[in-house]
Order: sequence, then structure tokens, then C-alpha cells
Amino acid sequence: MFDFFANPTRFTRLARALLPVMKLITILCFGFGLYWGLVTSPADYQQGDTVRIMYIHVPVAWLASSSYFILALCALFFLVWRHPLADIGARAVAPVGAIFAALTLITGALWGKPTWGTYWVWDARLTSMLVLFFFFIGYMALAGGFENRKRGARPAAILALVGAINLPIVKFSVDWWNTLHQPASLLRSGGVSIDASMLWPLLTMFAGFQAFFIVIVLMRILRFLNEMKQSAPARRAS
Amino acid sequence: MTQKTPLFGCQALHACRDEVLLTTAVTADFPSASYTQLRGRNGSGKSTFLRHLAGLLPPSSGHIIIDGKMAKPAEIPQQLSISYLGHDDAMHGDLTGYENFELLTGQSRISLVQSDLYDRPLSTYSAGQRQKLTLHMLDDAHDIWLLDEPSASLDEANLTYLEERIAGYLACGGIVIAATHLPLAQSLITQTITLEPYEARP
Amino acid sequence: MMRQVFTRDLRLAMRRPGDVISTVGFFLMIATLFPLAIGPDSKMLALMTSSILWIAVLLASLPSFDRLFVDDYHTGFLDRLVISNAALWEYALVRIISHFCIMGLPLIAALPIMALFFAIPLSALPLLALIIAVGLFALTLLGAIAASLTLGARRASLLSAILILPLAFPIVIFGTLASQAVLEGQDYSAHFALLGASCLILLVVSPAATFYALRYAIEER
Repeated sequence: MFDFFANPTRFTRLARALLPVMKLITILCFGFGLYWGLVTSPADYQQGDTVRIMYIHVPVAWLASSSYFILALCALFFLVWRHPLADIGARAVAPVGAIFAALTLITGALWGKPTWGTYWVWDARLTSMLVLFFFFIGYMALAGGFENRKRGARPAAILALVGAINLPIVKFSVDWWNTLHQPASLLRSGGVSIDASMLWPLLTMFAGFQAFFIVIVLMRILRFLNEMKQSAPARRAS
Repeated sequence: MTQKTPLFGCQALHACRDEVLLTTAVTADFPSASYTQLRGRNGSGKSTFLRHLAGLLPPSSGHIIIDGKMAKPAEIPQQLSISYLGHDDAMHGDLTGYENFELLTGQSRISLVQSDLYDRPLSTYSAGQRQKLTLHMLDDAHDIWLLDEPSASLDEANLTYLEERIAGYLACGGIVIAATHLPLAQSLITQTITLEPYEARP
Repeated sequence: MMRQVFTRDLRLAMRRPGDVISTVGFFLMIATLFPLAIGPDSKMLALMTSSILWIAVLLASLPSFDRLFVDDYHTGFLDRLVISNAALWEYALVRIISHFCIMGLPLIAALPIMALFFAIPLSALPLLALIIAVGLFALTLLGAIAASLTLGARRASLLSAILILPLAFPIVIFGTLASQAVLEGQDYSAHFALLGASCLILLVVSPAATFYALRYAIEER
């Protein structure tokens, strides 16, 4: 089945067909979701209007984590099955994942200031997201750290897999560390119990961000494929 | 006369790097007691071709043949013993000649020509002495010798020594494949392969 | 062949003891920074002792990991290993073990000096040494992954450090918690068990990842 997608021309055609649909979904979901979330949904009885950051923070956090999973999957396909598009997919996803991780941290900080009185706390979730951000940075540094860009493809893929194996361990260790060093104040972030009036906007924003992710990644892949076609000599081994 | 299955050969092998073909296809046999000269311009892919033969670099197009069967790169060192003379000699300057010899050949120091020089660290050797030691590591018992531009860095005495070693090894039935654009034991050459650059069809 | 590589490493280390002495010196200097930066208040330092130990161990060993494979890579020794049908993962494991013996054990041997600097009771030293030894071995396993992945890269040492540090967070967390527990006379077993488990997982992941990284690096030469 995956050989079907391996052909760059076929993939390009599929991607070009999918792109306008995804763009539309993105705009619609963001439009409705932001309106719902920012305007019509109720404020939290404890946090007031600042809870509305959740509509961005939570989907972005989820996307950052799933981006790394997708990155590791691309790495696996690249190393094991030598799928040619897998490396391109990884290159497309990595910076997007990094930006989502950074956005999570920033929105978390903005949410934290009114809620906890400080922009940053070393709680388990924020610290884990910071670690994830470091993993993305490490991947991009390694992939781009060689004179020849292709040289870095396989080491970076190995790193992504090693990172995927270690990520649960690091998350666990951060949780372990956090529960033992629990600061005095109540820092149970995400303790908001979701009411239906908040759930629908949240899900809409989830869908919007997911579609947005697909749009950005597909556009990046198409750009890379285009660059490769323009610079590739006809000497490729079949 | 019966056709003996060649021990070692290649089929439609292109020298390639990063999936880019460097040379045209080469199909050849390297039978016992043969001395093959690989010719080509500088940068034409001779070293890369040798690395394919040594099993260091998997070729993206073409195959290595061992005993008539296509061999994967990982199988080459499993089935054949190879002496490789490359651009770098894999020796460490802080070790003595004997220690380098034992580490690289797996043989005891007795197999090496005995000399006080070899009790001293390699960093104290002259270039010629270092090259001589590397030449001593060529093993007559190995199946194949792969030589990558040996004459480029050897002085006259070492060159003569290498030619003697090649003659002796061929007499034992060894297989020599040398990439070289300088003369090296020319009279013993049994086949010449010229690597042409790969031209893409428009 | 592998035993010969091990004896070679030991021989080379004995002929150039400078590297080991520098690493131990670096370790002591990093440790000295903390009282200088925080103040000589012994109560403060007592609270931070295990953290200082681990940060110093980690930072002191980081620069040495690059040299796990670089020399053998550039001299062509790795090529010879492949040609002579040696197992690359065995080679990696031997290098890791010899590196731990040559660089890691001296750091542990310097612990009594740290005991002096930070008023650590001598009775706690053996247990502390064991915990740090396990952590240091795990760090060496990580160092091998980073060193093999960065062979031939620009700024390999900085890149190596960036790759190792996030992966090393669990080791630092479990190690400092276990060490702190030992220093306070509390139960250290849970933290130590987690440290050991992380080390075991790395013992499986590291030779495998290093094997592939080395193979790809050899192909790209």
C-alpha cells in the first residue's frame, strides 16, 4: 500500500487535490472555533476569561506530541523500508512540531500568569513539553549538522527513534521528580472539568489545528519535492 | 576445458554514492591468480568502486558475485578474506609497530619481519617506514587484495617491494584488484577495466 | 579481536594519561564553581550536594564522549573492522566499557575529594560511588549514541552535547534523588531501582543505535 504513495508524482497529485479541502476545513474550524471559544462559550467560574487560552493551548499541546510520533514513524519507514518520501516527511514535520511545542509553552505561560501569578512553573506537563521541544531541536540540529544534507538523514532518523523510545522514560522521570518536589501551592494544571459548552469549541479547534497541520506539512512536502525535481540530475539509480 | 565458476566477480556494477551513479556498468570476473587494473580519471569513482567490492558501501545498482551467486554487501567479509590498501592506513601513532600489526592483522608479532624499529611508537617512523609496515600487513593467505592508488604515496624502494609482493601473491593464486593511474607491476596485469563516467541519457 | 581493542584502549590511555587527568581536574573545577557562585554557606551546599555531584559528573564527561569513535573513524580502522568481519556492535560495547574504565572510574576515584569539599560522611561514599557508577555507565551509553550519530558532523562536540542532555534527564533525576536519599539516610531503593532500569534499557538501545549509526557513517566516508 505504501508503495502507492512512494511515487512522487502520484503523491504530488494527491496532495494537490487534498490541499484545498484541508485549507477550507482549517478556515471553517478556526472561524467557528475561535468565535465559539472566545466569544460565546462561558467563562470559567474560577479562572474567568483566561480559561479561553485553553482553546489554543490544549490542541497545540496535543499536536506537538503527535508530531513527534509522526516524526518517529517517518524515521522508521525511512530506515527500515527505505521509503523515499519518509525522509521528506520527517523534514517537513520537524520544524512544525517544534513550533507547536514552543506555542504550547508560550500559551502555557500566558495562561499561567493570571492563574498562578507567574509565567513559568516547573510542573510536570510544562517541563515535559520543554523536553519535547529539546528533542525537536536536537533532531533538526543533527539533520542539518552535516555539510551534505543527505548525510544527516539517516543519523537523524536513528535519533528520532531513540528519542521515541526514551520519551516515555523522560516523561515518567519528570512526573516522578515533580510529585516528589511538589511545591506548596496547588498547581494542578488542566484541572478544568470540561462542560459541553466548552467541549464543542475545543473539539472544533482540535479539528482546525489538525487540518492546519496537514496543510502546512503537505505544502512543505510539495515544496521539497519541487526543489528536488529541479535540482536532480537524471543519474538517479532506479 | 571446463568453465570454473569464478570465485569473485561483479555484475552491472556502477560506482555510486548517495544513489547517484558515477560510472557506467561493469561486469567482470576476478578469477584466481588474476591482476585487474582499474583505470579512470581522478575522481571517476575508482575508490568508490573498490569500496563496493570490499563490502563497505552497498551499491544502488548492480551486484557483487561470489561463487556464482549474488552477494549482499554484509556477506562479502563473511565469505572472503580481504587485504585492503587504502588512502589511510588505520594505524595509531601511539602504538608500536608490533602492536599495530597485531591489532590489524590478528596475527602474532612473530609473523612480522623482526626489527627494533617496530618496538618504537609509530609516530617516530618516517613516511617510508610507515608505508613499509602497511605493506607487510598484506596477507598472502587472504582471498583478495584491494589496492587503492598504492603507487601514489610510495617511494621507489617500497614500490619495488609491493611489486614483488604482488608477484608472489599471484603465484599463490591470489586475486589482485588495483585502482591506479600510475604503473604498478604492469607486466603482470591480466585485465584492465576502464571506469567511464556515467552519462545520463537526455 | 575485541579483547585486543580493549587492551589497545588501555595501553593508549596509559601512554597518554593527560586526558584522564584533565577530565578529573575539570570535574573538580566544575564542583568548585558552585560554592563560588552560591556562597560558602554550608547549609545551602549541604542541600545541593547531590545535585552538584551529578551536574559536575555530567558536564565533566560530556567533552570526552566525542572521542569514542572519531579517531578510529578517521584513520580507517572502522573500515578494517568491517572488512575483517568484526561485529560493529561488539566493538561499540568494548569501546563503551573501556571508556568507562578509563574515564569513568577515575571520576569515581575522585569522590573522596568531593566528600572533603562538601562534608559528605565517609560512610556514605561506597553507596554514593555505586550510584554514580551506574549513572556514569548509563551516560557513557548515551555518549556512544551521540558520538556515533555525529561522526563527520560540523561542530560535533556541541551537537553531541545537545543530543545527550535531554536524553540524560532521567539519569540526572533518578541519580540525584537516590544520592540525596543516601546522604540523608533515607530509603534510596526506589530511585536506585529506576536508575538501574534506565541503565538497562540503554544497554539494549545504545549498542543497537550505535551499530547502525557506525555502519551508515562508514558508508558515507
